[in-house]
Amino acid sequence: MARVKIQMQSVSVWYGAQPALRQVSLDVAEGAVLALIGPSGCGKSTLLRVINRLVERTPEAKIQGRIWIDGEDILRPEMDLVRLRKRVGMIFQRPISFPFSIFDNVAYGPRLHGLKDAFELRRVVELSLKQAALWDEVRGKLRRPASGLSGGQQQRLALARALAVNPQVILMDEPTSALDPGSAARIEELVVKLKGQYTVVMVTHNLQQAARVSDFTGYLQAGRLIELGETSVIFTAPRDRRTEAYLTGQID
Amino acid sequence: MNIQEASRRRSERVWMGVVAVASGLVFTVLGFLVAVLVMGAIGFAAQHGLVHTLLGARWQPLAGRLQIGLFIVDSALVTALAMLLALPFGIAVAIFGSLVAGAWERTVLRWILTLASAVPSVAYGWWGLAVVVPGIRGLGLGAGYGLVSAGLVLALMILPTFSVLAWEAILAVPEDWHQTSLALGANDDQNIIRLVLPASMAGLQTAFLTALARAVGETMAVQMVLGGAVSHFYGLFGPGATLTTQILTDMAVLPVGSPNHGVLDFMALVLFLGVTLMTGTMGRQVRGRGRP
Amino acid sequence: MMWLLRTLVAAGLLLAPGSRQAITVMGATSLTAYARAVIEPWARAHANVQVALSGGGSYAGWYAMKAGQADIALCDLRFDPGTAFYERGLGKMPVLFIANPSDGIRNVSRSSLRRVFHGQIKNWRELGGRNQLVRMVVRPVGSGARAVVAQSLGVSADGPAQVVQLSNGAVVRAVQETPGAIGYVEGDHAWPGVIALKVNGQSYQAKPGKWPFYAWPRIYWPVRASSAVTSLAHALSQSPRRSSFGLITGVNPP
Repeated sequence: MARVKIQMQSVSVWYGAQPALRQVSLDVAEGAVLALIGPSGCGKSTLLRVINRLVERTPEAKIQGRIWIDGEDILRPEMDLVRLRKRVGMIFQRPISFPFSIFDNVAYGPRLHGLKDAFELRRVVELSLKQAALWDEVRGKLRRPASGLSGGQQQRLALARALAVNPQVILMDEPTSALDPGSAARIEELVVKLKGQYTVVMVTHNLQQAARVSDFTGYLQAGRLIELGETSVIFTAPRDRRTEAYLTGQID
Repeated sequence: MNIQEASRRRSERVWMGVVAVASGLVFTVLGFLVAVLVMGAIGFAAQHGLVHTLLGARWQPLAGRLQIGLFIVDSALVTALAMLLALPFGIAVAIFGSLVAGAWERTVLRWILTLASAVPSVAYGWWGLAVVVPGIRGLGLGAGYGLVSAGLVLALMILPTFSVLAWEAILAVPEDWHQTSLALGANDDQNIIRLVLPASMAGLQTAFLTALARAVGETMAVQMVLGGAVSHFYGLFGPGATLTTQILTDMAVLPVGSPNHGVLDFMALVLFLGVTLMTGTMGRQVRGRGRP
Repeated sequence: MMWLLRTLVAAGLLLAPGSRQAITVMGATSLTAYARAVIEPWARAHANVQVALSGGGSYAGWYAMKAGQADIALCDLRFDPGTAFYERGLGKMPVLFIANPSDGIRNVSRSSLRRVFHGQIKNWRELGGRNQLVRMVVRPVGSGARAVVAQSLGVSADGPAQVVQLSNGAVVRAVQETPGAIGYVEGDHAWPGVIALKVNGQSYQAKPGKWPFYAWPRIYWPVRASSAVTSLAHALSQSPRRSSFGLITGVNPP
């Protein structure tokens, strides 16, 4: 049995008086890919953002409950957010590249954490771009503006940038929903490749995608985690009626 | 075609006509203005010599000694001083307003800046006379009228405009860029220095150039505290005269129709070309660095 | 759209001069208050004439009149009228020296005053006043007051101890504010917050007749002027209201 990487216990989040997540408890095994599915506004993105505590950026956001990563309580007030976010990377729905060169985009994180040595930076950038399967397309063009890349390339660049700080957990918020099918497929391939080395929590609207890439799937509705289990079980024999209704397209 | 459609088309045509006439009028007036300046300036330069006029520092308008080198130097110094002072404070106000302040503070600050940018420049001149001039004098740095006082007054005058424009530039950095940066482990300071400022550089430079153009062209507020010395350079705390203030001062002795009126056209043209050149080169640099 | 055109045409007709004659009076700012006081009753008596009054300085008035853009020039400096223009004196107007109270000076000799405006006296201590640096507040070239001071004391030097202010009021304000300041103003007004200096023991207020510093304001108008212009020029040069604007009448220019 694999080690537990992330453990959530009775996590609730409110935006002001509005509850977004209610009493969610779950475990994520190290090296596994967990897909979160559910209708819009069900709290998937909030669940993702509470793991790196980005949810606190929203004014009046309130968190209750506890989350451990590798046994460390990351919701405690004295938790060092920089250290947390170094361990937990994130990819967003819209491919985001900063208005800098390709190199500076990937080097952004390492530089934040004090890496100055040019040789070492170059090594990290090259390694991360290779991991994100972008190296072959951009080698020799690292000084060009990142905005010149296609959407799919920019999303892989975002992945390389996240990988460059050497995280253990990667959060993905609908990483392919803004991409064409070909680019989406490449991202999916990458997720499968990262499996084992990184723990991935991925929000997706695309059920086939969840079925293809994830080990575990969780179904959320109205802020509650309705059901979580092995992906093959959830998609073939869900225990909860509500999960089944969603999977068969009765809830949108 | 029904009647309504026909009347809509006709009113569209009329409005297009109004727009065309209005823009034509604007261009004609502008063209006429520049033409008058250029003709006056050329006439003057042909008679007095370009280099002689630009590099000399002897100014006795009634005696026909019309060299404007000192005014160019003073204009550049006063503007540079103002920009140097306004830049850090303006950026700080913009960052505070757009990223740090709470909703309530933001509203109040925005309101104050909008009000302050609508204050007529003569009011800044009065503030200069009441506060800056006695202040500089109190420090034992001369009479208080001088380049530094003018720079201070100008800095305060352009600060609201510059802050609001810089504020907008910083707000234009998308929220998910912030989130991406923070998710990589940036603390708030790093987020501002490494992401927000570089990412909003084009907007910040536009803000800077707009403020600069206003500073260079300002006349009244500067005139009130500058001292108006035209014969020598008396140091940063000493009095001086800029191109604009001297145009204002000597309009009275060189009115339209007087023999040497052309020197005022020439000074205005130097100012115009200087600002155009500066904003042009800086603007090109920005575009070169931005996204393709 | 027709209503817009109609409005524009109507506005144009209203603004057009029509049958009314327009006269422009232009020149020294120090004389505009007096000119306004004369023009108002004159214009009431000449309803078919419209009079515009503007400042801009003696030179501006003189050149505008020479170029035919103004009909009457108000000047506190002398220009050569040649044969094409008439010249009439309005009387004389005192130029007073004012000092900041901190200078500790109430009376100066004419030669001391000359040395002050030459920049030779740097500290009021040298004239028996307080230990206070001398700061001159002057009017720009082309001002009548400056011309009077320049003529009677020799041209004043331009230097770091000198601040140029564009109007009488601005000079007064700067002298009030600046310790060590000395300046000059046109007119007999007793300004608050400044000392009106005696020169050689003479005070203007006590004996205006013995005061040595006067400007001689004049008006100019073309010899070939309309009868309305001539009439207004006569009104301006002869009005008894001059005395209430600091002008002393019944004297001839030197």
